[in-house]
Amino acid sequence: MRGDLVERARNGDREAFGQLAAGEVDRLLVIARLVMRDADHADDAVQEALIRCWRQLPNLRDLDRFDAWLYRILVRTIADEAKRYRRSVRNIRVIDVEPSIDDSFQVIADRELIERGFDRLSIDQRTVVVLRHFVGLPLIEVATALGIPAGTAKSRYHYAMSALRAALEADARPTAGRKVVA
Amino acid sequence: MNPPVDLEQVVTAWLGDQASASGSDRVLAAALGRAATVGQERRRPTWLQLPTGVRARYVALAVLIVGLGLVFVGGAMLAASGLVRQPAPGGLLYQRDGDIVLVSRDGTDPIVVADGAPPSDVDGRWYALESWAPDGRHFVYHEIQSNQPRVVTHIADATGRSIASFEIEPATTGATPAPTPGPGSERVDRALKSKWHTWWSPDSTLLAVFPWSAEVRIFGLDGGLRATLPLPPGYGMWREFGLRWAPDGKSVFVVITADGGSDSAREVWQLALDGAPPERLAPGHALERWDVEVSPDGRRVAFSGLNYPSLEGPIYMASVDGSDPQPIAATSHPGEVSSFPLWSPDGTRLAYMVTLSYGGLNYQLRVVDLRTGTDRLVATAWDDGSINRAWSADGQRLLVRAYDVEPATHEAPSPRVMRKDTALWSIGVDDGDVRLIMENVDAFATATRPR
Repeated sequence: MRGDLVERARNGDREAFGQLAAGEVDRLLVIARLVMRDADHADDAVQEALIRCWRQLPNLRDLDRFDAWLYRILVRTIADEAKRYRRSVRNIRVIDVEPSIDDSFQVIADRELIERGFDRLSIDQRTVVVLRHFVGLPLIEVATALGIPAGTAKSRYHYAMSALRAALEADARPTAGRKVVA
Repeated sequence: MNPPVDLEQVVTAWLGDQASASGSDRVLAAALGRAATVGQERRRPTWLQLPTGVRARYVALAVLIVGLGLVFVGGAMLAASGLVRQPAPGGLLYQRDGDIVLVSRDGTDPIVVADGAPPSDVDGRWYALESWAPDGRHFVYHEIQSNQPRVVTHIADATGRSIASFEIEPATTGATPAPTPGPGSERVDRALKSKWHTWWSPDSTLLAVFPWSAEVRIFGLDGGLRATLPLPPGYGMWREFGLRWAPDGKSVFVVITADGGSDSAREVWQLALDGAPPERLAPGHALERWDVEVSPDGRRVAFSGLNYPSLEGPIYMASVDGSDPQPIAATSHPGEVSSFPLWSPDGTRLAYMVTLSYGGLNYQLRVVDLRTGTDRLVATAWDDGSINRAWSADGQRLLVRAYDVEPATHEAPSPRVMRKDTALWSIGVDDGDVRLIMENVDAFATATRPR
């Protein structure tokens, strides 16, 4: 069904593309917001990515690779969009999420620290972490989706996780009085 | 001390909490609205579908290309006759848009060794640079077909001519089953799509290859398999992996992690080419270990250590057997993490990075002299996370691939308009001289002891 939609959209069927886009937009939006940490810019990036998808679909040769191809378009669009606001990327939060009722203080504290660490990462690093841990792609496929060597994906991932680990382990310091949101 | 945190689990949970697609209807409507006003980029029509005028232009272009080809062939003949300069052995290699390019160490005389498709071509064949042999007489690169599970590894001579090639099938004998599902569940067949990591022996005659399996394979310059070195059972298939040849070239040190163990519990094992059983050299200790680098003489290791309970993580040094780990005091920078040590060719200095707490990925590039304990800021770099650095063969300069580099006069990066692509920079270790060598570089390699 989806493969059929991709094929029809590739052949210029706008209605099929509309259905295809409707099925993808949530996923793209979540990824873009997680990576960019800014809802407005993420919305713009996804909008642009969908348009690029439409324009470039005729050049997609292997329908089975649509997902990787679309990820790559999204990631490149995010990169382009991010360059426009690179200097203001810090100190931006996308979504305030209320902690779950059963979250312990420690879990909440960990997530706060993770958020701080995540905000410090580069766009490229966030992309690798999101594709790895949110989308669930193996690093090899992350590399394929990004069009980068697997070694580069690994080092980006390694560096990002090192930074996040460091952020978490800041909590291990005996600094009394660190605030925990309850 | 808090109990160990499963970082991957925490990150996954946090990302899940953060996920929101609210307002997607609005984004979709806007996108479809705009898409309705634009057409698709169709593939080029076939030859016979082209208008006559266009076909004539293509014919003219073909004539031009043939002419240029004749000029190129003539140039090559001149080069072969020695009338035109060739890159010296151990010249600079770089990867750009799927191509491998060889230039002399001064950046001149470029030769396109392998002409690949740009990364945006999802079906194209492209080339990934690996490394020079230490003597600068050979180098290795990979040929990757994006849509096929096939990687061909080429060994080229100093002029860029491929003299041997080989493919590696994934090992299955003795392979540790991949943990599934979840993090680290890459399958062997998927690993085929990746390029292998390679390391040259000190005498530049052997190539160690880690094909993301349970073994290290040793190849000769002719592409023939010389030895297969199994990793100890239960180690290393799906984690970070590092390798360094022993100075005598008779064994390799591998930095591996036990499957199912902590991500940071790195161990150093020695694998002998003569088939002797693997020997564990570094017993675990209280320090977290990252980025373990064996020294050029094979006697010491340097690594990043996150020292509990404080965050400050200096670079540590220990014997290669893991004993007597000592922080290098000069590399401790309060509140920041020192990481990715890189030995100078003579083993007297360590280059390392201090990650800065700014947006994006910025780091100080610092060098500590192990003889005097002197630490100095060399430059500040804006990186993309790939951490591609190398010492020059004479140990006087550091080569760095980064978006931008600022000289050591700046303790922190200043706001600026970033360049679009990463470039190759050369930085004087002692004088802080920063030079832009080449723009738009995806990877680079240098020879450590060119002859």
